[in-house]
Amino acid sequence: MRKVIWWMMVSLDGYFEGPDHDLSWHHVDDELHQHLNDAIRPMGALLSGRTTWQLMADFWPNAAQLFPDERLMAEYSEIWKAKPKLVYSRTLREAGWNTTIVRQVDPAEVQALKAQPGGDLCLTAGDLGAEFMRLGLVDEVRLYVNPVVLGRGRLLFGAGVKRELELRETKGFGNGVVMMRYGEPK
Amino acid sequence: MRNIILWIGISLDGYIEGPNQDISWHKVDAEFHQYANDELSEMSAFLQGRKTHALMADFWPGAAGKHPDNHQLVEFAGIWTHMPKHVYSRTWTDAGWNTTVHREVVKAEVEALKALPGNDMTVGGADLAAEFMKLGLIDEFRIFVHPVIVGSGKRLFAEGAPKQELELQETRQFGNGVVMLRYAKAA
Repeated sequence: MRKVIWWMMVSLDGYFEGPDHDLSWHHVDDELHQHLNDAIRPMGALLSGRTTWQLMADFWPNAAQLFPDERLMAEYSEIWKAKPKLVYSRTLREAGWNTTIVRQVDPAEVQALKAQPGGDLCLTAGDLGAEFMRLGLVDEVRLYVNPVVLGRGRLLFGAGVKRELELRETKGFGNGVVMMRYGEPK
Repeated sequence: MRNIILWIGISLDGYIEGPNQDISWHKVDAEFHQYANDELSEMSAFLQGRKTHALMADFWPGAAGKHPDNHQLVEFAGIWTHMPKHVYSRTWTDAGWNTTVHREVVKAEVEALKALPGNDMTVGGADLAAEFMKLGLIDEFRIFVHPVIVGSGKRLFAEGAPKQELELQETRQFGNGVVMLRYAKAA
């Protein structure tokens, strides 16, 4: 059974977005970029909401042309384009780039997806992630904690989620980001 | 110059306390307790809010007698009772146990305290931590992240906290799933 991994960048005070969807506080240098490329490459699919999907679809397909000297961006551009993707959206009509549009979160459908062979499912989403969490569909939480206090924005863990977790791994990066990986307690 | 270290446990979703001041989810085992004893015994003072101090003063002075077989607990009882302490209270006049009472947090007073020679000092407790952060008096954060999502309660970083870049100094993983994140103010 493959896992659903809720995979997010957060600030030390728990925001996944600053005010006005600000993500400029994300600390990504070559070391972390390479780690992310390598960790996402074996994933079976990328799951996200419409906002995140749109950001990615606007950026990654052309990233290699726009930044020809950035090897890691060109590499991730290829990973993103090729990877099967699911976007959760009530309104999106067409999505391209190997993306399937899903209208709403159906736990039985997610379970069926998990039962298929292949790599794990990487869920990068704010509110949608919290919904997966409430429905008990998240097998692993993987946070990249950035060394910054934002003070405002949107909190990753909304009200209504309560859970004991089990720490699986931590990894510190040179730029001050700390990865913390949690699973369900055995 | 002595640094002020914010020493505090939080849930993965950033709460110091769950609903009704619940901290029963704080995981403390022998390994973690020993680490805390070793580090805290090196401090030159503990700065505490009134509520935290009252809880501590009710527990630690008698702890060794009640739990003689718990090595870490007996050890920390000695550390706590002897450590110079500062408590912030508008009503107390005397707090006992080697404690100086201050009426309120005055930035200049805290800075004068920092200028005295000696080892670093810790500050703890939800409300006092918030006040020190607001005044920019924290030099180092030692945040102990417990492997639990509690959903509501009192957050360590209140909404509206000033934006601040920090410098990661150390991470440490404990066997019970607690992760320490140690940061300094960015230079």
